[in-house]
Amino acid sequence: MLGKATGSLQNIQRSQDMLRNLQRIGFYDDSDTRALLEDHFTQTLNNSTNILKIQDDGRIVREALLMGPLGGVKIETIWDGDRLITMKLFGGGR
Amino acid sequence: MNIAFAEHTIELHTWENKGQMVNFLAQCEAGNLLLGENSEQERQFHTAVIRLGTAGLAQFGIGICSQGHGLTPTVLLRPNESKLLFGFNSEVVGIDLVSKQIAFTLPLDALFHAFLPLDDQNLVLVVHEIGTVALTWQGEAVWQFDEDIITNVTLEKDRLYFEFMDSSPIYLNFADMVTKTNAFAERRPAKVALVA
Repeated sequence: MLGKATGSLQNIQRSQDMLRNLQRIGFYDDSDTRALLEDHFTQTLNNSTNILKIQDDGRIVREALLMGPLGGVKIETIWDGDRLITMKLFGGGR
Repeated sequence: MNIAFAEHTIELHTWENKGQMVNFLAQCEAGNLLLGENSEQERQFHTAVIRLGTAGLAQFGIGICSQGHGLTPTVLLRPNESKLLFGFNSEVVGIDLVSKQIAFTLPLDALFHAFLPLDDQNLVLVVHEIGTVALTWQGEAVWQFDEDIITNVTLEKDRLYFEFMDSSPIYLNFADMVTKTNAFAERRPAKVALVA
């Protein structure tokens, strides 16, 4: 999420794109942002009202809004139990 | 530059905005299709123009509204096949070049990453961010496998090897999977721990 993914071109590009979206709303790769994201995802997991759908394999898709000092993004997450599998960011500008 | 397949050629373009793309597609006299318009966000705009036949005078245009996410749509073509497969956002769309219509749509559990064609088995492996779907050129999903964020998928003989960002690598016995005869939901292959 913070531009540091490795392994494949797609993963690297995805990660860098997510970092750009976070930067647009005022978050940077620092300890404050990491703590804030950890808190955000903990709240996302524990909120029973944000379930978008349950996939055939039982994984749960949730959505939540992350607000920063310069705007907000919607984060769609996929969870396997309490394990965060992946996410998509919507908004935050181009 | 053009890409040739069968008797056709393809031109690929990227556009600054949707308006430019739509205007371009409107000039394709053999018709056009616009994919991805149901996207939650539209960030990138791509077209594939198929010049039909060796004369190349009839143009059939396909436009894609991409959500972005740092990923670029992919088109897969196959010699002697009248279909094109487009992978973008979280879906795969098959386009029939004879009818110039959408032949099928396959929604994915996560963002599309790549195609891995298995021509000898008439299958295409659709690799998305966290799994794979084995798809026939007719649009039937034969089996699927979801796990973790994938960093690499390779096929060696009858084994499909997966490497993941946060999990140990595994392989699937490909031959076992294609002979399953149960319903789709039960065809999910059992994973096998990779032996060094």
